[in-house]
Amino acid sequence: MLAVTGSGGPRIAALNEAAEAAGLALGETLADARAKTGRVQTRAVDTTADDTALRRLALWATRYTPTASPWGEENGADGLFLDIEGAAHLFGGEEKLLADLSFRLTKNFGLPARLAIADTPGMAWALARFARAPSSILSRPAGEDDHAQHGGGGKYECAEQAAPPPLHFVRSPSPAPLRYAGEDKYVILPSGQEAQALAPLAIEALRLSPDTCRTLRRLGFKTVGALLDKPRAPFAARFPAELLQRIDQALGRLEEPLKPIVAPPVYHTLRYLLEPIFTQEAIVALARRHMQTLAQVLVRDDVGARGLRLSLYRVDGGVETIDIALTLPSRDVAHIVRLIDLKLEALAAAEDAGFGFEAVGLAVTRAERMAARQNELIAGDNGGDGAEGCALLVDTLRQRLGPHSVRGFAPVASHLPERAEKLAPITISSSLATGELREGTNGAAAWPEPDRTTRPLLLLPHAEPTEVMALIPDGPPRRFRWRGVTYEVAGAQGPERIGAEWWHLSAPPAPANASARLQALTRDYYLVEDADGHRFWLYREGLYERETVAARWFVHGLFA
Amino acid sequence: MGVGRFYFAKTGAPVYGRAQPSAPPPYPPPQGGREKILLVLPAYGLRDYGRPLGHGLNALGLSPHRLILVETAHRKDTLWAMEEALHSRAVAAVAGFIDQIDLKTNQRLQLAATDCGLPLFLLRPAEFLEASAAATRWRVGAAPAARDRFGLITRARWRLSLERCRNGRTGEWMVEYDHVAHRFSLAAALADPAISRSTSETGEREPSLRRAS
Repeated sequence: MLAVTGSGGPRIAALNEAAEAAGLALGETLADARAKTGRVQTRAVDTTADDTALRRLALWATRYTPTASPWGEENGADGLFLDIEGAAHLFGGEEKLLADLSFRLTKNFGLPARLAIADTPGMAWALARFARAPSSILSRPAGEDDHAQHGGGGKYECAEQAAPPPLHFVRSPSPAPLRYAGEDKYVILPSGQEAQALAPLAIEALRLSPDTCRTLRRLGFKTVGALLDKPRAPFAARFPAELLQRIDQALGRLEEPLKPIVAPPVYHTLRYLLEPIFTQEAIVALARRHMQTLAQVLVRDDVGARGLRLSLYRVDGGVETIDIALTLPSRDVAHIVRLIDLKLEALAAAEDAGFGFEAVGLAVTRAERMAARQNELIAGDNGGDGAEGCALLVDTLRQRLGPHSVRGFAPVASHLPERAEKLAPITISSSLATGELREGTNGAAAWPEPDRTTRPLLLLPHAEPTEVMALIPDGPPRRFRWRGVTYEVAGAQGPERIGAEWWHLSAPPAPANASARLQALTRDYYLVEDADGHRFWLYREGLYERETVAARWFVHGLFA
Repeated sequence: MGVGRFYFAKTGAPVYGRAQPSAPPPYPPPQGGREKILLVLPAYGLRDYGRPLGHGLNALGLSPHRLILVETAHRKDTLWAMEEALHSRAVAAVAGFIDQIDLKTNQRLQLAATDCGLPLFLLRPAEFLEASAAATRWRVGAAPAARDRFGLITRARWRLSLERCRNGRTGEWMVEYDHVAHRFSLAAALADPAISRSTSETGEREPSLRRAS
């Protein structure tokens, strides 16, 4: 089976083992392939599905280490880097970790991945892809500590899901000899041998752009070794900077930061379960134990959690994450567990646990300073300090109703009424939490003095068009019809002229561009009262005979 | 439909100033962090009636930063949010927009409000009028504003009627907002001196919440 992309005629983008055995290669045109083999099954490449699958895999890989990073979504998205520094011993060493990883990849995802551990991501990448056979280099005796490791993925069978082979990079600090495990499965490179290991590999192992590779090959540089002992200056002058940068990164002369798929947590606990769990009660009980563990660490460091993430690793490889945001830093086990419970309730309605969860992790993603403080002797009947109680309430509401459901007003410097304020997440300042008084973003000082400005109490989400009868084209309305009811105007006050914010218009409005013209029109606002005392806020869009000929009217707000 | 006509079914502690004119108000004045007012609005309410405008509230003397706006997807969430807020006792008052509510739920809310000692305001659209367990029911309607001799609006007015009151008399008032004193008071021309003696305090509170509807 083949996956096919279309550029200059359909070409082979990925292929399985059977196809490879038939002598097909990546990049061939489909017509050639058909001529060679006679019958091929093809599917179109679905890059979005590839990205999704890789992301899912990267999330799953966080069960090994918090730092998992998918390799270059922009250039092929076909591998993962895992920073396993300090994580390998939890699995009984690098080798065991690789075995576990490889086993689970095969079992859960059906992916025969190729894995490598090396000191640097670049090196691990090269080894996972280009270290084919147990060559003389790879059977070299043991080096010392600090390995990085990188897993490469093999072909995969699912043609519909034409995803590129995943690679896994893992990094760990345990001393181990360079080994080459059977059947091309994985490579572990000891520290300090990057140069020897890299030298015999093909030039493509440096993660260069195809153009650079082609030029190098034309010049006769077929392996990395041919490049390594050459003077750098001519290369720097003739090639893009990426060449030397990639060499340095592979050899560890240059730092290569990994971009983790989820922000690495500040504090983290993870528990593997002997038996998968299904029920909400079990998850909550486990979360409580996690939180109790974390709370001790938090108290020790004088910080409180502002954000937490509960990760539920399913047996079938999926990961459910529950993010919890707190208004004030907290170490309150009961409160956080309650928030988790609320979220699980919503989650349970949406999906089922499948075969259950095999591991549960709780991580503090954001921590803030929080002074230690004595517990109240009397259990507070009003929930302790007012601001704190309010923060707890906001957390609870937000957890069930969604992160954007609980908001407060914040003024914005703008003349347009719909832009003059925004609804922002509540900020509650508490002197207890931070040790100093923080000024909330929406302090009272920022609001203008309540003077005689006419602003309605209720602003309609969108200004609603209305039919208006006025005596003169630029005069106040006499009668208008809104939502099916005709109102006789008893008194109108205005206009209050509000000009458009021309500085927000990037380009001068072209006459043909109707939407840009609408934005640029001046509005004349009238406060209109009908005979019964209903007060409306109407505006006429466009200055008569200067900006528009047929002015349109809108109802924008209600007073009473 | 009259725009902006809402019933207020107020539950919780009795309206102060009415049954016992000289008694201290049963709600403690806002202090510390308990100054926030929680307003629960379902998304459909926001769509139909618009959302509260901070500058508009500010112009009527309620500082917008005291208001916490909670947006819910449906009625069940609205009820849950109100009850949660009452039990937390972390806010000064709770208000929520409810179109339909059965008597049992209503009683439940009434009990929660009484237990927690917090004022709870249910904002109802004018079309819905069911039996209610609330202590008082107010109807806020529009009224022509006071104008000066040039026809300019000087003071906004609302017609306020107390349609139901446990342990008290019902009545009808016209209230207006005084920009100078930043307070609501009875409209002088229309105030009935017999009623106005004891209700000016009440008038101050109700429309300030109606604004939030």
